[in-house]
Amino acid sequence: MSDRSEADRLQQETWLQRTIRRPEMGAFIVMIVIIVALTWASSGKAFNALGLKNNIQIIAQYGIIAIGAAALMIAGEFDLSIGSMIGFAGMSMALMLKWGLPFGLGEATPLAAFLATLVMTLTFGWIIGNIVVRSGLSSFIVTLAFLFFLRGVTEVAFRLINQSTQVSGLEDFKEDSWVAWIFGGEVFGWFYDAWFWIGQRFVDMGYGRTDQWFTLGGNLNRRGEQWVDGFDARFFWFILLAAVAMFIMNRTQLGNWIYATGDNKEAARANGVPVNRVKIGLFMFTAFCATLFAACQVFENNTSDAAKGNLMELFAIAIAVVGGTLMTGGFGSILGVVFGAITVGLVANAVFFIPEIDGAWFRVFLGAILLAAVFANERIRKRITGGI
Amino acid sequence: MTNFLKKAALAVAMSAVASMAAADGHGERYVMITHTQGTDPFWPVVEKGGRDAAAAIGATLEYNFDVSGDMAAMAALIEAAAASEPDGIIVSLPDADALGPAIKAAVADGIPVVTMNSGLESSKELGALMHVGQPERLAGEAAGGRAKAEGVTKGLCLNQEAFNTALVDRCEGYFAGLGGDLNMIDVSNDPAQIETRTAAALEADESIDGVLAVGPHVCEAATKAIEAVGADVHLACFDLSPGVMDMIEDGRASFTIDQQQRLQGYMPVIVLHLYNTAAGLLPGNNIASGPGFVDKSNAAAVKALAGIDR
Repeated sequence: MSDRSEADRLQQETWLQRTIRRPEMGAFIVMIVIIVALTWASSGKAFNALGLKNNIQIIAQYGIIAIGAAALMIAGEFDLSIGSMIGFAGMSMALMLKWGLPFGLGEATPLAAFLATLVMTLTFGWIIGNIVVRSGLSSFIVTLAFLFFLRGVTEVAFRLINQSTQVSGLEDFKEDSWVAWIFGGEVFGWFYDAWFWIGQRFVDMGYGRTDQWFTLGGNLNRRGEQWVDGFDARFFWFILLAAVAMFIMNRTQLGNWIYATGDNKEAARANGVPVNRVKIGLFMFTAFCATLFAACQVFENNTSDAAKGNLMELFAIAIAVVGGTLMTGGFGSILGVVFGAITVGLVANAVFFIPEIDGAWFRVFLGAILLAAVFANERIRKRITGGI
Repeated sequence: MTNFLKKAALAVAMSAVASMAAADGHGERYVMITHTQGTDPFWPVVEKGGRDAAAAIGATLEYNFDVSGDMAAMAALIEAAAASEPDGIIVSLPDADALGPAIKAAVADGIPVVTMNSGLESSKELGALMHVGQPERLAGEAAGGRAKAEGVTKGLCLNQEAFNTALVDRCEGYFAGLGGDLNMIDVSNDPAQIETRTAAALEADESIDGVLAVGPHVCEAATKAIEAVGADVHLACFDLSPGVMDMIEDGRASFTIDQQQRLQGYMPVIVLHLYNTAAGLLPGNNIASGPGFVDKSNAAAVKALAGIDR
């Protein structure tokens, strides 16, 4: 029984009360604790010029797929095929770049390889969505089936076309192709150029690399050269995807439809929400996120293999949950997922900056954080929904 | 009726040819079962080695694996192979407890078995004729000894499969050869994480001046980390890939240890052929397929064969 009364509804809330009741608050608190702890434990090295770039690379990588997974979870469905979709998309692009477009359509440019792959992955997303909404089967089971199916197709295609389960040594398309560059290049170089300039000024003033300011401040490597040139392109895509998803979820009718679908499917349908179209669209969106992830991987490393994306679906779901997304649907926020991606990305990478502990502990930390975040999020959800 | 007689005559002729071939040491059938899941570019080279050897002696080779990587499923493949009564079974042995009973049963049925790649320690007790593979710890020691000779004082080992005992053996061997305590990190199989975790470890301890990557894709990603950190670090690798060959040629990696896995496919077929056709003729010891070093002196020659015959 709740202690709240009708009069409570009319009370003016303070800014702090409103903030504390936001769904992403639990994820934000956990994130701040992790950032402070890692900064202290690594003596700041986890957030020096290279540390920041590398941590953001992992955060963005996880974040791209977690946004897709979270949007789908808010609508009350799961996608366990994300990891296999990454493997399939990477294989498809790499094989086209090496052997040319299918049906003898000639040599593949990065754009053609990406678009042809996107058509296939969106089709798979559409098929998965249709099976789920038309059969009434659990999305957990349907996407589990596609996890195996897509991984198998990836292996078979590699073996048939390439006689090996790995494509490596592709030419570096970033030199000539803007498409390859926006997926695999570096962005926001001005940020690191400014950081390098500031570092040089400190050197001119007589400070050295070992001074405390440098640990956090100087973009100079051990040889005194500019250390980092820019952020990984994934960072740009993560920001773009998060901004668009946040706008859609918070400011559009489609966002309302997604929340309504996850909260109560039948009530939503009765109110004119095209529930089936929403769900199919979201399965296609997770396929898009997986393809984006794969494109960044292929064009950055000029390689792909049949095992790529393995277990990524679990990270995507974990991040969505850490970010405050409810497993049963209808509740969550994209901003929370951003905080979740930062938390999980830091735990998965930044612990390796601490020489005193075995890096394998990151899994232990990840499990603990997942539980802590779920408990925190559940308390916040109950506060928002009045203890329901 | 004449059609039937023609077919019967053809069948008799074919069986006569087959029996003559068998008497001549031909017509043998061997089954190779490995623990690959079909995702590792290492194993097609092993398979090709086996097929080349079978072609050379006029035998047939069946190659099997289970995509799940499940040891119980692999044991079932061994049992199925034994039931088909081949002239010999060649099997990799990553888990002696899980695969041991199936191998023992095949040996008890009179089928000669040769183990390869992994399982050197358990091969003999399971009744296998011999083992063809690289002693991983010794290979690691060779890498560590050479790294020490090339000036490394403090090492870091990058392991992409922290639960794989063969890879742990490589790391432990490296530090036995180099001197110092084991310093191994789990870098995962994700290229982005290999790069970022390696960079983090090099940043955390600036005295590290030697890195061993126990897989070729790990080595490729580690180079990017070393360049990003701006450190002067000696890099050594295990196994071959076109990328690793390029790195050795342009000086970004010092050497890679080649376990010469083609021999792991090729030699067991030859061993079984000689055993079956020459009154149990066997080499006096296990065959060590590696370690072989690939460095600047031979990288160009090896590169042409990498991923196919090397």
